[in-house]
Amino acid sequence: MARMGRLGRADIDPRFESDVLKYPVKLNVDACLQCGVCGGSCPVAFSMDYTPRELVELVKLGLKEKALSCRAIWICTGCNVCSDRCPEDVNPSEILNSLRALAFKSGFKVPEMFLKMMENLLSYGWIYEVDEFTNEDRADRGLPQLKPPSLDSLKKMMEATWPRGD
Amino acid sequence: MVKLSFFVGCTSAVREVNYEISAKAVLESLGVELEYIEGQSCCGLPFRYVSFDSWLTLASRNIALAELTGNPMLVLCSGCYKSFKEALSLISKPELKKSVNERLSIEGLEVKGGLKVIHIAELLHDHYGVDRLAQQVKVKLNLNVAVHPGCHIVRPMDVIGFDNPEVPLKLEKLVELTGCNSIQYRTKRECCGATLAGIDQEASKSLVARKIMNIKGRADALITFCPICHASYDAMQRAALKPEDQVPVLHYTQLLGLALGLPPEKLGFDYNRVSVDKVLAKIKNTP
Repeated sequence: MARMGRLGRADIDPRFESDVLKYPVKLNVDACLQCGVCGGSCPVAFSMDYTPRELVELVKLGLKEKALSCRAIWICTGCNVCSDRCPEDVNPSEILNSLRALAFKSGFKVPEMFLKMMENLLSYGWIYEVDEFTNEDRADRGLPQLKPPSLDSLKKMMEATWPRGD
Repeated sequence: MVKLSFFVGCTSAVREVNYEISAKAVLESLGVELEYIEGQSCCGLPFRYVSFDSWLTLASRNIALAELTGNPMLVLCSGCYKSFKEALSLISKPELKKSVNERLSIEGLEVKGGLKVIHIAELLHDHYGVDRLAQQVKVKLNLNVAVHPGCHIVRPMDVIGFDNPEVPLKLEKLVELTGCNSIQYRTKRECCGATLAGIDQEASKSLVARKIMNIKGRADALITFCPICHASYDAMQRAALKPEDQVPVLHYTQLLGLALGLPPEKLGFDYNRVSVDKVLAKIKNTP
């Protein structure tokens, strides 16, 4: 990984791997053989700065800053092919979910898209804007109106779980 | 008459109404009754990628609402399918279920677990029955089509378990029973890249272009089983490719609807972004 430049002891966070493993789904970071089936299967590796295999290695090495600020974790589409094909059940796709959640919680830059979808969820109950045109269109087609769920309780549930107030 | 609780999902309800329209038309003609789940919201999957707890709460909330109906839950979207099936598998752990139910209690809801969640492809193939469905076909379509299986209708395989993720033969069968020839092509199993559209437009366009260029000239249409895949190919193609390179993208239920002899006006074709005129003309000209 020549692109990482010179690394010193200060770049290593010895608790990083255990933080990544504190995730409600089983991850087997230590079982990774670095075989590369994940990166070879990944449909979007061409657009990543680190392949899934390399990301697992960043976790093992404790390179928190590199892993949480990289572009690759946001490029992953969550297709699950890497986890399905991994011979050691390392579960790279869930490792990436854990990395994104950590990045979000720790204040790293998160794509606008997620914040916008949450904003829509809290306003309409759906990830898209639902306005009168949406419902007029649906009525024309004999489809029932999209009614928002109870937004008050939805907001409370999200306040209890969503890491940031924005 | 079979009755199912219907979870429509954000993308079908707002961006891909032709999927909801055609699915309803097809199921009605097969005698399946749908009841929209009251109070449903986003399935939660988009939030899975940044907040596990927000996702699990949203997914479980919809599951709890469906459980109140006492009927299995039907989904059209492969994303919703994955969201609910994963949530159901995780809340079988008592500690996760407990923390989810604490949050659901805000709305007076409780998730029990054990709900049956069925994707429309699974309903048609496994429950209605693929042979019985084949007998309902009134018009053999005689098209060459490219199947796009998509990811979450088959993955993660240990949670979904509907079809073989490497060779999804059930999806092929559903397409072939309409009288179409399903072509083989190199990028068949590739992801549609929908989530990339909001993050890296160029990468998303190149994924879409790669698949379409792979089937261009050999397939009359690309067939999808997920509204997000459909939106991705149907909308993104127009930004990624010249008009002469574009290939129509049909929801499976639109294709099936034509084979069942339903009039095209009932299948929402006017919502398809890439013109489907050539496909419809070809069917009309088939003796």
